[in-house]
Amino acid sequence: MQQGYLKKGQAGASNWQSSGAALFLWGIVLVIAATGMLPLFSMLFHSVYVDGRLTLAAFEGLLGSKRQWILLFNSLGLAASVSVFATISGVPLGILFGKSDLPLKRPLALIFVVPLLIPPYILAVAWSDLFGTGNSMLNFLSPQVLNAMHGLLFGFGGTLLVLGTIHMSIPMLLTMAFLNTIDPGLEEAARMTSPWPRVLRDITMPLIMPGILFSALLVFILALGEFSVASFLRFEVFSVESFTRFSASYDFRSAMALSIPLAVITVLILLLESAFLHKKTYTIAPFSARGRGCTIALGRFRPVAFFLAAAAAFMLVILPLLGLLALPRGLNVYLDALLRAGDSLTRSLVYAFSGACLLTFLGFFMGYLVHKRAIKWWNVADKMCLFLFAIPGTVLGIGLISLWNRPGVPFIYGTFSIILIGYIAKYSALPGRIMLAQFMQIPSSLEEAAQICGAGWPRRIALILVPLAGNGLVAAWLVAFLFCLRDTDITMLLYPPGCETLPVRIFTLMANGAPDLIAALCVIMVCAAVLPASILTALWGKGGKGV
Amino acid sequence: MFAIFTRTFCVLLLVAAIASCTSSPRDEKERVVVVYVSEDQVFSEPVLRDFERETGIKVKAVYDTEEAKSTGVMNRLIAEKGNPQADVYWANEPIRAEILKHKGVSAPYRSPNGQGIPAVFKDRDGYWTGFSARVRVFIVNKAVKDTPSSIHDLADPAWKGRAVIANPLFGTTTAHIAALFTVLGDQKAREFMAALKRNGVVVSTSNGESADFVASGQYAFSLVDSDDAINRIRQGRPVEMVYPDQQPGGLGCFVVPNAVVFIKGAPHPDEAGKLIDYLLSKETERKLAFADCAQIPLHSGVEMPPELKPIDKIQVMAVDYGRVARKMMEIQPFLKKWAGLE
Amino acid sequence: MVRIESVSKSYGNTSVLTGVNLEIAKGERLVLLGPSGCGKTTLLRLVAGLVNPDRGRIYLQGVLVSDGNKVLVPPEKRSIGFVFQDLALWPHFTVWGNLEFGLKAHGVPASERRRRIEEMVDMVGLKGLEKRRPGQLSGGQKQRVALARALVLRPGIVLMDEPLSSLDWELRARIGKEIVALQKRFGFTMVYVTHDKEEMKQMATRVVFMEKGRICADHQSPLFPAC
Repeated sequence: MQQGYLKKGQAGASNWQSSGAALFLWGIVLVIAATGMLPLFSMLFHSVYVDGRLTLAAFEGLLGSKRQWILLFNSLGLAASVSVFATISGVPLGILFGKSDLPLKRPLALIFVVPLLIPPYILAVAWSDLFGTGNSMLNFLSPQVLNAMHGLLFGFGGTLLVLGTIHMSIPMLLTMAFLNTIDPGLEEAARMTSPWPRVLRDITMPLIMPGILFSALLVFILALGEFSVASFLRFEVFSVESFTRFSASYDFRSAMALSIPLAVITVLILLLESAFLHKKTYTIAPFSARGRGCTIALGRFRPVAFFLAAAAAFMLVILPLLGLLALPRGLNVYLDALLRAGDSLTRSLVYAFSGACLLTFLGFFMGYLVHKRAIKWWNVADKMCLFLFAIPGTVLGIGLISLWNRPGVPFIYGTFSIILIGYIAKYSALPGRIMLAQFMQIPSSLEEAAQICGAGWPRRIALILVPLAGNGLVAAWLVAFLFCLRDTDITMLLYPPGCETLPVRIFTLMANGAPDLIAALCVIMVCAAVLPASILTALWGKGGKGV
Repeated sequence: MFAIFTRTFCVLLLVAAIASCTSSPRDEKERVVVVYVSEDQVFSEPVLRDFERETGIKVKAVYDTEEAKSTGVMNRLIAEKGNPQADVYWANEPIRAEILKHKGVSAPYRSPNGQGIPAVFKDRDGYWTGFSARVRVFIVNKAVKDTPSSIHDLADPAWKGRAVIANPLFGTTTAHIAALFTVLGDQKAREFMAALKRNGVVVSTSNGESADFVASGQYAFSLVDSDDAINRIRQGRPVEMVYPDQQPGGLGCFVVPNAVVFIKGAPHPDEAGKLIDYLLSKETERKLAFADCAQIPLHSGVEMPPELKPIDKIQVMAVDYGRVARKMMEIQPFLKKWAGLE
Repeated sequence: MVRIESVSKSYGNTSVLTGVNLEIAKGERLVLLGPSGCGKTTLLRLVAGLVNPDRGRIYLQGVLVSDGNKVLVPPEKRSIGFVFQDLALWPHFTVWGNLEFGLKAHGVPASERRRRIEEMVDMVGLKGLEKRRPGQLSGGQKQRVALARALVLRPGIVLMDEPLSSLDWELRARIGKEIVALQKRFGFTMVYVTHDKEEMKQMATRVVFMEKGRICADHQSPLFPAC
């Protein structure tokens, strides 16, 4: 036997680690901290250290007016409502598409994902256009009815509808992903005595609860920081304050100060979530062949379920987008759109692909170190990622510029490396949490057995954990890809001149661009996201059997 | 299958990494100019492409969005002040140019092509030069019997609840209100704004939205930019354009020229000068006049479409844009309160 | 072979092992018997190095491997075989792959790997099943794979944590006999955890009774405990 002095393992955890592994994991945490926290500290520093002296002037009046409290309350109410709406609608859809014998599941699921792929503002505009009196689609309704519906759209209800529709695919997708990780034996055992509704309630749902909770949290955070839809639909939210300090006054310091309440709220939510989630334990059955979960036979409810799902897809997604999608008349418009945006489309895909790969790599190890509690401040590292996700992209972007726009590092700022850094800072929580939920489903004995057999940590990771976590890796990559692809806040501020992405180009062309051109660009954007995702999931579904 | 994925993933990651390292705007062999643009991309991009074609200087542009949707290039310019990436800033109104001057982001540059432009549309120290202007006008629905003729009609009870303006915290509307403060004085301007509120003037998110509201008949008229009005006219919508306060002794129309700015510490100063000269040329003004943006040339004798009035035929509001910019920053808290954000 | 000196282990406020002393001689078949929660599995995992003691020392073949909360020799270097309660067969590897994994990790050449795996497969009765994955095996077959994986590396010590608990009594008896036969053939030291007295009788040359984290009896022959 070889001798070697090693560090103490964590209480309650297996003795898994070598010093090399611990160093590597610390490296992962430091990369994320450097990309995300350093810019924020830089911004915070410049907010309080002005002209050579310390001052809290930027924070004066923070939450000092009744108005700000009302806005904060509105933001919280909206975020909570959107989260509930998205979860209540998304999870059943996820179960329906992920677990039943509903026909045309994949196309229907893809329809619900489409709103997530385009800038949220566009869906709000689409809804508004739908009820506009000049719109030809609903002209069979009287102007009074159209006006009334238009009026209802503007305000809390419409904002909830639009944001809920955009985000409901998040719980839907995560539910589908985590359903795949359940050992069918657990459900089969329950089916011996109980009908499906009870099995779903008592067995399936508790097993996928980490995924559902994470998706609800994710939607909450996204809705909390949302500005453009709420602004367009005239529902006043707190993020307006921070945004207008940037846009109207170019006042970075107070804009930074104003993003703090939202960040604090996010941290509180995270602490609550952590307290609840990390107390959960699960009975893990021996891991069986992936992808052969129990299917719910809908029987005589099949036509009803299909009708309901299709109706929801039509009402929530297709109808508002029909106005948008029906606008481009003829192939010429699409050709023109491709000519104008072909290069930005390529860049979008390259940036998103690269970002997704890096994020998946980092997320894998973040999920691992949180699951294993592998380093001393694993909890802080986890919360740091989620905190960064909650920070408005604008604040992060300005911080990244102030940190990296220096003569000594031209290979970072001014290249797409800075965009990748922005993606890592903003989105590392997503793959990290997906992988955490995945690791919670993998029996620790599988890694321990490999360790006993003599495999060092890198070998265990590569040959045992990576294959076993395949589903999670695919889901993490896909989610990271979609978020990187649709990103505007960070990309808008950081893209190298002449190298904008497609969402940015759609935004910039929206100002007086021809509506059919904008619509064609949106269609191209949707295809750019849907096609790789469909190919990936189709390939994975075929080739992953037996793995 | 997993092995194939892993290998493909590694190869593509390597490709992406190489692509990242090789994409840099500082190509030593190629002449390049970096321009940040607040003028709408659909209008500005063709001009920049023409410049590229005619001079052989590669243009790398960063375009702006409508203010209500995103923070945009101004923040980027200010954030990059310590290590400028841009050479030129093409502002769609001079207030932004003034703000950059105030924040020390710009440097003086007097283009030979700027000589024909009236002094009121230039910074006296040379920090910005105006060209191709929009004018603040009324867009009026043709179904409306009477036609508003003055800005004060927004406060006239005869038009109660029938007018709309864009968000006063952004863009040309803010600038216009700030201009009114400088011209009318603080007290009268505040009274005017209070009267607007009493008169039920509705606030939209943008000039474009305001124009659409009027075109669809939801409101009788709106105060918008001339290009918004002309656009809707060219689309065949039932609207007309009215230049307010044109009577003798009237306030006149607030003119919003584009403004081109030389960025302090520009990485490509020679190319920056050439681009500024090009933008200030009569030919550029002609193109922008005939484009959908329908902007009025500030040089005299430039060909323009019939629906545009030459600048010397319009009674222009006499303002100092520097004062307007300072006033704009000063009245922010007031405007936020007025808009119900305080 | 294995010496455990005054080892204690707690999880939070719960004391799982308190001042355990135990010496296991080479070639012994020691059965750890006791009710659920008495600390048998924890003791096994301490010997394997999968968890660290809070206090005490553990020696394997005369070498100090754990000293208090310091791990001096990690599990992968302890030359121990372990059969887990849930068997922990890797579902993405075939039977052959499950057996080959540890040999590869130890740098055993391909030809030697082949020879050892074929020998082991033959010995445990898995011939013809090498290309199957664990999901395609019966309970008894999986058990044999877990056993073969533990033994293919020819460890000096083999730890077994209730490996037969999921099998029916007939299979349990049969495989139990096979385990004993393999132990006699290879001569490894075996530590076997169970709460089943029939298994104890079948397996043990020595029985250690545990209760509430302590050893309360230690018999050289498989007699029923007094406590």
